[in-house]
Amino acid sequence: MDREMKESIKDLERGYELKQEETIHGERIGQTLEMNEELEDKLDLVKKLKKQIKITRGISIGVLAVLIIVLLYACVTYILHPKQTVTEETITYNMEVPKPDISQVESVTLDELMGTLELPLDWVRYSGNEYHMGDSCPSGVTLYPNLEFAKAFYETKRIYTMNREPLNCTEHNLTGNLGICTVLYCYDPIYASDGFFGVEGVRGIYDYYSLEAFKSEAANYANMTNHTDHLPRTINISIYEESDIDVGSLVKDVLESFDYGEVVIDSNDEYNLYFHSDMDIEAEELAEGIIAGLSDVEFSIKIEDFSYTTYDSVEEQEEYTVCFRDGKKHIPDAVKKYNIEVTDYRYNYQVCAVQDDWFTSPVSSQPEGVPVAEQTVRDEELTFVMEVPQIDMGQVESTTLDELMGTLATRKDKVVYLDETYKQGDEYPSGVSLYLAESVEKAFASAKRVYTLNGEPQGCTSHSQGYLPGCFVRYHTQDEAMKQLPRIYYYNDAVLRENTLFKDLEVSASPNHYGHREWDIRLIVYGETEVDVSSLIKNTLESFPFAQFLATGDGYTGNDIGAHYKFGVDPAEVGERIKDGLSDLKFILDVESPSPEYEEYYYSTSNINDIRVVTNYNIKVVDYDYKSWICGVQEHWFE
Amino acid sequence: MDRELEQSVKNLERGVEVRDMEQMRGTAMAQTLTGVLESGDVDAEIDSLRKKLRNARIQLAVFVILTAGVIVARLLL
Repeated sequence: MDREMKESIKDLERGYELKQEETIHGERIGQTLEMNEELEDKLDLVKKLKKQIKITRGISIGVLAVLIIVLLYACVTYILHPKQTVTEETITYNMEVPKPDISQVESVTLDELMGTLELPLDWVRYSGNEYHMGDSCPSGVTLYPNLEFAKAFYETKRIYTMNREPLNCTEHNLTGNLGICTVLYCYDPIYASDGFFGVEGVRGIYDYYSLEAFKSEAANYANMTNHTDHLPRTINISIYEESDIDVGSLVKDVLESFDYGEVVIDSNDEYNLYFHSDMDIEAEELAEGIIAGLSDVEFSIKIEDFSYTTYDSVEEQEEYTVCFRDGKKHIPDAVKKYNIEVTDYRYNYQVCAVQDDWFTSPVSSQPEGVPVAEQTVRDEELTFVMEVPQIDMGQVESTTLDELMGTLATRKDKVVYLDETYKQGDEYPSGVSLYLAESVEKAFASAKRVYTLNGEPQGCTSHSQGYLPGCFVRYHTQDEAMKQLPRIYYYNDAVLRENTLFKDLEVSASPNHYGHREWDIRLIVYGETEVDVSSLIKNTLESFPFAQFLATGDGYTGNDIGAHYKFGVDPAEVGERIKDGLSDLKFILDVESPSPEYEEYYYSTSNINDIRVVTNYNIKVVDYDYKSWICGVQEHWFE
Repeated sequence: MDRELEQSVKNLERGVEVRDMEQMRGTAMAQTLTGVLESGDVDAEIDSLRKKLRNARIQLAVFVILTAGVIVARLLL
């Protein structure tokens, strides 16, 4: 039994061992199965990845193919494609004055013309004088036209002679080139440059020569090609496509579509009368005309326009550029380039004709064919050089600078005191800076104090190197003046002050002038006279305060501060004083100032035609412009 | 004697059973080891394939960019 029991126990133990082994075995089989499943999943993933790689590579190959095709196309179109053949063409146009067509002249008398123009009577003055060959200055009708008159006069296409130089107006009459009707148009470049157009210089004269003679003269003038100058302008056109457009003809047509003889009134209602061929066309306007004719081709256009507003200088330069209709900026090659030069000639003379009945009255008092007695003409040249008057130290007032400042400082806010002291070699002046209003400047000048004027701002520092120790006033013109802020600097140099004995200062007017202007005074005296014209002119000139100030009207004195020598006097004043000195003589006086702000003075006595003795005085007044001007100061200036 | 014989038979049977079990165990172990080895190979291959796929994608992107650039340049010029 025990043995059986033992056997049973053994069997049981063995059974238990077997069960455990089976359990382990089952677990292992489970693990194996799980691993198999994982492996299968991984194998699926491998398959998927391989597929994706295949697809990606396929797409890459496709894209690469596209890239190659595009590159080949680019090569074909850019490298292998032949370049455009660019041809250039240079075209030159000379804009000529249209010849006057005498047959187109209307048949109107001058009186009718005046009536047509409806001028205020006081604008038209009929003098009873007759014009004679050899007269120095026109007599007869003197017209002071306003704009309407000038415009209407132009539109009638009547005779007129253009002359740019007022100086030549009288000379031109002397030649008698236009025996019947000559209207002188005086164009003074100085006026013009300042915005004044010399319409006031229009003077009409008429005389009683035969119409045939006049017509002959007029025809001669009409055929004149006496142009004075010309202005070039350039038009550059590039066409980027093949086109049948005749660009040369197009530009020519556009240019010719403009009315050269137009009357233009600017925004200031100034008299801008373009009697002569003045191609005053806006570059933009011109360009638009050309662009309109270029239809749909690709193009670029650039116009350099040299419009002029003054007599002999290009003042206004415009440039017009347009690139491509559709905004493209880079088109590699033009098919054709046109370099077009337009030369705009300006003629000195332009003459139209009048009709028989132009001068129905008055009747000539100078029968045709009767010779005029020759005049005895003497010429005399006079030149006056205007120098800076020396400073009289005795006239220097005894005031402190502070007092002076107090006096001058009409506008306290314009006076600035700086505490910094000026040191020799400083780049820029310190000390007191005065920002002076016009009234202050005037007062400062009238105080006859020491000051140095310096026209060149860049020269200020070098000039200030102790030139005048103690007190140094500088006046900036040029750039500073442009800012409408003239400055006077006072140097409060402590070092210099110690050494300053102002009364010992050598005071002088520096002869350091940098330029001068010239006046022309033309005086023609008829008949014998005892008047010493030279002294008369000299005395007249010296009767003016040379150091006066000239306000230009806008409250800004700028360059016109008369602290330096500037003979800025109205020619009318000079003329009147000379005229007074000529007593009862018969004379013609013409005073021309170089200052652009003044108009020429002209005066002619009446009934001078029968006087055969004539003295021509050609007077030049040289007006020096000084750079520096120094006065003295007093010992107690800096108390 | 019978009893001893019977005991011997039993022992033999048990011995056969144990051998079979050991065989099965060995087979299972071998399978498990093989599975482990195979699984390691597949992982390496998956890594390799992933690398290849990434490279292929980069290549594609480069081609696409180049193609687009060329096309744009052509249109602009």
